[in-house]
Amino acid sequence: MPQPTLAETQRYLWRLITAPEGVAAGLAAMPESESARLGEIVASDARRSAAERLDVYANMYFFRLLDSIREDYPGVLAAVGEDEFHNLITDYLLAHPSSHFSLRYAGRHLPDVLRRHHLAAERPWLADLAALEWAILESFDAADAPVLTAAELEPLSADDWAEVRFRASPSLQLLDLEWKVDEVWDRTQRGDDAGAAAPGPSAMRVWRRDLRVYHQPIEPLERDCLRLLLAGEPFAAWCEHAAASLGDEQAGAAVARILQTWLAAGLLVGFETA
Amino acid sequence: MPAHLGHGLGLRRQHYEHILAHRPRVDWFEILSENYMVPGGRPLAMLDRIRADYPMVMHGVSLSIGSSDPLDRDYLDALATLAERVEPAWISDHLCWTGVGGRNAHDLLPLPYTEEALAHVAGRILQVQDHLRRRIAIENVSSYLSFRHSTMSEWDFLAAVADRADCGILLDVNNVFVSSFNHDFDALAYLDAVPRERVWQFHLAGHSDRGDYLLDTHDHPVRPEVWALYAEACLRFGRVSTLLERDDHIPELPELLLELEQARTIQESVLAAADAGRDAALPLAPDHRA
Repeated sequence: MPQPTLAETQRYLWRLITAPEGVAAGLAAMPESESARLGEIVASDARRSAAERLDVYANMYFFRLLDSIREDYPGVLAAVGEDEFHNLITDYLLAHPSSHFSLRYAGRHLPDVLRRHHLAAERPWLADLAALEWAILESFDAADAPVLTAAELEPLSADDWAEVRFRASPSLQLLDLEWKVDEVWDRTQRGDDAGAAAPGPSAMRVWRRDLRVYHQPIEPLERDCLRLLLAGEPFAAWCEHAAASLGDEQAGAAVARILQTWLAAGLLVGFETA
Repeated sequence: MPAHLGHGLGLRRQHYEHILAHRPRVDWFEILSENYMVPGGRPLAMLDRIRADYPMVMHGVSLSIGSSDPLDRDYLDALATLAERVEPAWISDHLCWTGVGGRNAHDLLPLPYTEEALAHVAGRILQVQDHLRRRIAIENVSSYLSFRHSTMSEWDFLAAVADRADCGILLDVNNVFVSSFNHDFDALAYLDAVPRERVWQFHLAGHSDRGDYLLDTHDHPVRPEVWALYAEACLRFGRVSTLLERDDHIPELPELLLELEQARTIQESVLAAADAGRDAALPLAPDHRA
């Protein structure tokens, strides 16, 4: 048998280190001609067999990723418990092994996986809870930008207002959820029982002001304006949208309230006119 | 050879507030580069504030210098961007591979010590150094298996990589100890084979005893046997910047400062004894030769 190349060695070890049931099961699933190669590649000694030595790495592979992803989803963990979370991440890593250089992104597909996972049969709100937790993490280390103040808008003329486009904070995210999972999240953060989420719909904004991340359920009109803001639409488009549902008279005041709320919360970081 | 920085600690988020409030007596901090490869927010805000008061070194875990995959250009770009921000005294990563086929284990996987691996790793370190426009230091890892087709010892491999790539060595004293137990080699023979002029930095950390093997867990204080080996390393390599790592069961900072003080005391007394021409008046008698 020729010496394995570096690439062959690494691909072979990788298959066994990431085998979901451990190295022994991974070897058992291979044709004998392949499983026999382990003894040609990895040394055994009186203390540990080649498979046992490889098992050290297989355990570390799983638990390092598990530990990282559980930090990202404390609410999901509290809701399903340690054992179910362990099984969930086993399933998750089969579908989504980490492909990013940073562990920070290893858990990014969990909301999608939870939408189709059997855990969702009993708790259909789990995917929404995971989406909220991922959004909180994304806001936590999103790019910094100085907040726009109301005073900076004072010089705007009526013509400017017809053209103005606001820029959202890089940390600002809109979540369109089917369940009111913020209540579940709040309970788990307090250390209370997760309970169950009430049905929605529930729109939520998640953003960071200075170094603190906030989330806030919002009404349909604010959700629609937020969607327009994030799509880069001008302020005039918010007004048109509001007028279509509220009529011109009430729309102006409603949109002005939303703008004031956003300025006060630090959701906007700049604007362009023309 | 980069400047001597003294005795430093691995920067961990659990200690941000204490560091900013008390400015503890730590000569320098080593950051885990990947923790700060994010767009903004608290990690970079804390980094900038602490960097203003302390020298820093960037230590990575994702370079995967030994992987048969192509080098990750996105990673190298992010590393270069972070280096512009931090202006570190130097940049280091591990002599290992962390994944293959575009997948990442986020673990420090061992290399076979072959001519093929040596040429591969040294060539890639040269590419990384070109990209970063600076030399880097490469760290020996703890390992739990060895390859039948290795044709040289780990220490000869490490020395040859450093020579061929003209890079520095981050000598992890705990990793030498852990691997010497796991693979039944003489830790002192390892130290003797490492080229003195290439050692830029030491790492110290705790490990766990799993019965028939030792695991590099960084969740304990440094073990007495590793302190003894550190004294031997100081004797051989002199006044080398030393970094204490703790990644799990992280205690309050004052507890780590006491441990760091122990490292300082050992290095000072070993060097003082060496200066005085006395032999092996080490503060902790090495018992691992047995």
